[in-house]
Amino acid sequence: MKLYQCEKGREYRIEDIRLSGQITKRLEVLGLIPHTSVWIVNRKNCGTMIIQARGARLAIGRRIGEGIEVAPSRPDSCPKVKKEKKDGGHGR
Amino acid sequence: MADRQNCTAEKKADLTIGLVGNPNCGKTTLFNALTGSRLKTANWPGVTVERVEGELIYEGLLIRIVDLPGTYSLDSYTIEEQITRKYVESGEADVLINVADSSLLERSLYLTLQLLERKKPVVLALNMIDVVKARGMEIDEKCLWEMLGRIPIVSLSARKGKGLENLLDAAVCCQEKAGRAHPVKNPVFGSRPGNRSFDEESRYACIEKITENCLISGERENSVTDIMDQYLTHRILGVPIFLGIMMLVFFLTFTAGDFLKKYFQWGLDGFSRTVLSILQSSHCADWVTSLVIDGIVAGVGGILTFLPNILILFTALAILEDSGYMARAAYVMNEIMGLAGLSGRAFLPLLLGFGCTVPAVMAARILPNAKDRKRTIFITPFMSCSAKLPVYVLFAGMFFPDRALPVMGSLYAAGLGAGILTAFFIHRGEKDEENPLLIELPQYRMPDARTVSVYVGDKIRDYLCKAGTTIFIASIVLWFLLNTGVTGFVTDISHSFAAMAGQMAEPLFYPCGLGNWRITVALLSGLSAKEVVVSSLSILYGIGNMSSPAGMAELSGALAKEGFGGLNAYGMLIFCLFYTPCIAAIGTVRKETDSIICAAGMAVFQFAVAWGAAALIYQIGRMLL
Repeated sequence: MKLYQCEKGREYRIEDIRLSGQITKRLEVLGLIPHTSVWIVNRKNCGTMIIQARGARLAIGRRIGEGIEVAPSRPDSCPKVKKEKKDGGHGR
Repeated sequence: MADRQNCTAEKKADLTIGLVGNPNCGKTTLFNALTGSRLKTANWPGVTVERVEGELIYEGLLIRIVDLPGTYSLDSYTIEEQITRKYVESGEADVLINVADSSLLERSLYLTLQLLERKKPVVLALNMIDVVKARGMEIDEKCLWEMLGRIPIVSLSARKGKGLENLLDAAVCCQEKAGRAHPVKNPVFGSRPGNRSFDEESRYACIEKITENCLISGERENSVTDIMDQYLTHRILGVPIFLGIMMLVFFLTFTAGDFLKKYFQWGLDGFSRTVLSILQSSHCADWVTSLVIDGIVAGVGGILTFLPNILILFTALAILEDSGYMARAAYVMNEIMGLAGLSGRAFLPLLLGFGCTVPAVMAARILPNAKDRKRTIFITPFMSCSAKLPVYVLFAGMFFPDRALPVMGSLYAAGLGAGILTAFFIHRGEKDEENPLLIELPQYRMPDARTVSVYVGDKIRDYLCKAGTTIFIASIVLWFLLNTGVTGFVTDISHSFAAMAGQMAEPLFYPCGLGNWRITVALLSGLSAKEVVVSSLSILYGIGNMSSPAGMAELSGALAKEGFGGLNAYGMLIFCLFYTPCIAAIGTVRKETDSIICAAGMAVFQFAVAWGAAALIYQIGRMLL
């Protein structure tokens, strides 16, 4: 599924990124690469959303969300539950 | 700790340090703490768009510090990031202090690895370490030191001024060791990172290994930010909340500002009387007394009485910027900006434009696309900057006393609407691809009193400086133009040079309901700075304390005698909202677009829009009323 279709309050894992070179590069630099976990903080109906990845919070437009293929991290993924130790935030 | 001094570019520094780091990681806060500077800081990515230098003396060494725009990587994306990349690659710095937001260590280390790959002499500054501790997180510095190839690492809090001496010690030590290669074996790289080249995946694989070993996370990191984001960036409530916040800002600006203004008016009255008695007792020539009282005191003093409004506006904007809400406005307004083919990120310069057009135009550098940047620069002057505020307060107060707030609100909304509409038409003409929103949102935090006071203090200083220079000179020039004519000094100002110029331009302004030579002269003199419109009216009508109730009554009475009513006043407000920005703003547009044609085109275009909008409103109003 595409990132922009994701539900608020759930965690997903990036499978693939299909966007223009410059935007892909920018996302990579921000740590959004395949296998990275992203948590959907908030989203609008049009697909613009706020995500959290690697501890950082990003606002992204729908066009970017359309180009990121994701899969649910866990069927019952809950963002409130985090590992106590040796966890680098929402990393993979 | 260290002696600070202003940058004296002539003397060669013993040590040059470049501050490199992600946007919003605290580089400028560190720069201010080290050099004693008072550069603007705020809590959103992209505040610093230019390189700035400062100096200090530490342990007998002259150290030059270079503050650079934030960047996520050395693969530059926006204009300001290119400045940083070029600086890093130039080798100008003896040591690079890589400022990292400790609470975002995983993301911050990406740039660190890139710097190490390029074999730069790096000191890693773990900034905001107090925030990390407050969140129950912990960084194993010894482990980090080992895994990054034993580069110097210093924990600090630039905001609280902690750890600065350790940082300078580490930088001095790093310079001494620079050039001596000493690869160190470590569990992640097998050797110092500089001995390998990486791609994004392998860099992040390394970073994950580092954070797994060196970062101990707390139970929950972002609870306050999470809760606030649920409401402030809500899909339905987000826009009304944003509009509500902005309405509150303007409400406070006008109501609380007006409350404080009366004390300034008393002060001005007293000052004017004192100066007058001094001039009279020293038997000055009448024309000198008139120049000082009717020209300088009335013009400059009249503008200074609006200081409380300016103070409150900038305090409110500083609080918004430092709280972390500013970047959220980009998200909230993304779809509205999308109508104009711009991403929500372009809204940040527009929001800054409510303060001052000059920094707002420069802030457009945060946009990665050149066309988006130009379009944003083009529409930024449509925003109601603080210089227009005295005109709004004066005319809305005089002609719409019961509806002053809605009238002023309509001007702010009209400016934003016209800007978006203009960008929409340019976008349709260009048919370029839209640039999607991509912006980092910082953690919310309690606005820092020092940060806010520095920001507001700078703006007040700018305002006073403008009053003492541009407005002062404009007042003197206008007084001479009003009191001299082809026959020399004139007693009837309708025979003055100013009147002649105003009468020549008068027909142009008839369709806008502004066909009055005094108003015409005030508008033309406002090209130097918008506040000059008010100071000029003060001189043109010979009113000493224009913003006082008595002064406003006198001016509105004089205007009413000339057939200038509420509709004319609204036309005047619309004209002031849209017409050609001040010379400083045009100069900044020319510099940022690197095009005289673009700057001149914008000036002419805005004049045309102002004329068209004022004429439309006046003519429709005449038909309806």
